[in-house]
Amino acid sequence: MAIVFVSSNKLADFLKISLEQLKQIEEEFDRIPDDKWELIKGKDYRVVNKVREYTQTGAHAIYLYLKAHPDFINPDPKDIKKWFVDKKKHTQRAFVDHKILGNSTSLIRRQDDYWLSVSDVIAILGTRRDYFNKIIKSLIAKNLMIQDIHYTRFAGSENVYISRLGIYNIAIGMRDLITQANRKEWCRDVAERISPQIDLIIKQIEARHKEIEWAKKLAKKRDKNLCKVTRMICHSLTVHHLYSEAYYPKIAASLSNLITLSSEIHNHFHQWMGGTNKPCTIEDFINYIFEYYPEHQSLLLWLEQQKVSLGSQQPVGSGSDHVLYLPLKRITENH
Amino acid sequence: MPATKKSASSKPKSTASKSTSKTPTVVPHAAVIAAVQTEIERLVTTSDLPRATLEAFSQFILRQVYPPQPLSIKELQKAIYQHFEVANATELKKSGSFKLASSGLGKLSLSDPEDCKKIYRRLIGVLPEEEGEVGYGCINGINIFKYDLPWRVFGLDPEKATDEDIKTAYRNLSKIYHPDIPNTGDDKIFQKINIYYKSLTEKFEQWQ
Repeated sequence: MAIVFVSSNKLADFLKISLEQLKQIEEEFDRIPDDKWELIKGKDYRVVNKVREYTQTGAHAIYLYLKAHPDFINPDPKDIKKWFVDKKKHTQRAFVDHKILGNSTSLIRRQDDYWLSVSDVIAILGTRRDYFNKIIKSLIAKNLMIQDIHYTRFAGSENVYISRLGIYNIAIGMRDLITQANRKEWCRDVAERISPQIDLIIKQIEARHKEIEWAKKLAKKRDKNLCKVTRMICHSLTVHHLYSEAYYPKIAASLSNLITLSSEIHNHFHQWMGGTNKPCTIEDFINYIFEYYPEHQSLLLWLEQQKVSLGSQQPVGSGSDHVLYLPLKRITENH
Repeated sequence: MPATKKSASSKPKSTASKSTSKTPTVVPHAAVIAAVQTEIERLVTTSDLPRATLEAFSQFILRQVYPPQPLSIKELQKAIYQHFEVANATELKKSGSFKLASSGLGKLSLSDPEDCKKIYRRLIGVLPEEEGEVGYGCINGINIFKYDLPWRVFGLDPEKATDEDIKTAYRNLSKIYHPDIPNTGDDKIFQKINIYYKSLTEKFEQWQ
């Protein structure tokens, strides 16, 4: 859990003193070592750009100093406390959001809901499999784990997926069983954040697909609405992904990865590759041009330039998959 | 308690919902309940009438005579706020948990008692006026189209029931609600029973 710091400016505001007065108090604290008024660097404060930022214990020490000196206006400690509580809550929620984001590659939309795999749910909750099983058992006993509402198996698969409501129930079930305060908070925040965070992920995936469409328009403009191979105006101009979109989603919106082709050449290339479902790379396209258009030196040069610009790429399934690069149909189609 | 056959009428009776918040709460006197129990015992020993049928029938009669008092809108709201650990409607609307838990219920207004009841049914429990409900879709006093309470529907205690008990209860219900059973067979009800059976016997240890 990250430590929360309050800036000197903010603390001075809370304590109803000026920044100058705060600095004087700091000097007073530092003047006599090991006396009643002590602030420890690292524990009570840190220094950023020569200015102190305080932890809750540091802020409390300054507050106590003011309380002991009647010449200062007695500030309300509730304001500072509330600020730290809110800040900690937001920080923890950011951690939970990050955990959900990093463990949602199984995200899928079916039956009007979003579902995650068992392994992703276990990872988000940060629990062990045996403890997870214990929670599921307790939820079944409470009528809170019902097939097709809280969990399901999709046709043709033995894998179990858990709905958002199912994840909510598991998180709340864990919160109620766990005794550690920080783990309780984590589970509560997972229950609170799972749905809004999935909504944000969905929006981001949709936005990425709009970016791809926008990049395709830019590619056509760049290539002056001509087929880059034949350099001719054609009725059906298509924008081809040099690294196929489905297998290399991370560079799908990159202009360097796009080339305008006549649909005849586009279809011919994919047939040459063995079908539209086969993954293709820029290397494949260069080989294709070598074979069919070896005279097109400027195109080969341009392709080589794009290859260098795009760098080495790993296809999906090679261990670096991310939920934000899921195909749109996975999170929009209702099977 | 074993399952009771659905009544001849296809729609649930709405006598309970006719009660207004102004009607004083009338609960059956302990002596009435004791007298009914004594009569059931007598009938079980002196006739072939099954205990479960008698108990179900007595509950039905008691509900007609002493309809349960529905919760007021304020009581419903209070229960919902407590469930989500919030103080008021503004906080509730901001709660991610509430948004998630109420998803699929459509646009909800917390000033509408029916909307509050929808939330209550899904998240808190059985509404007092719907406890022991009888009619179409009601098994063991639970309307399966309003509540998903498999253990109650199967008449089993989750702490004590064995896999064999679940199987037996499922078979008993199937004998009534399987679509092939004349008069009482019902596809919609049987589908629910099937889902409940799968849920109660789920081998979650093998989930992958």
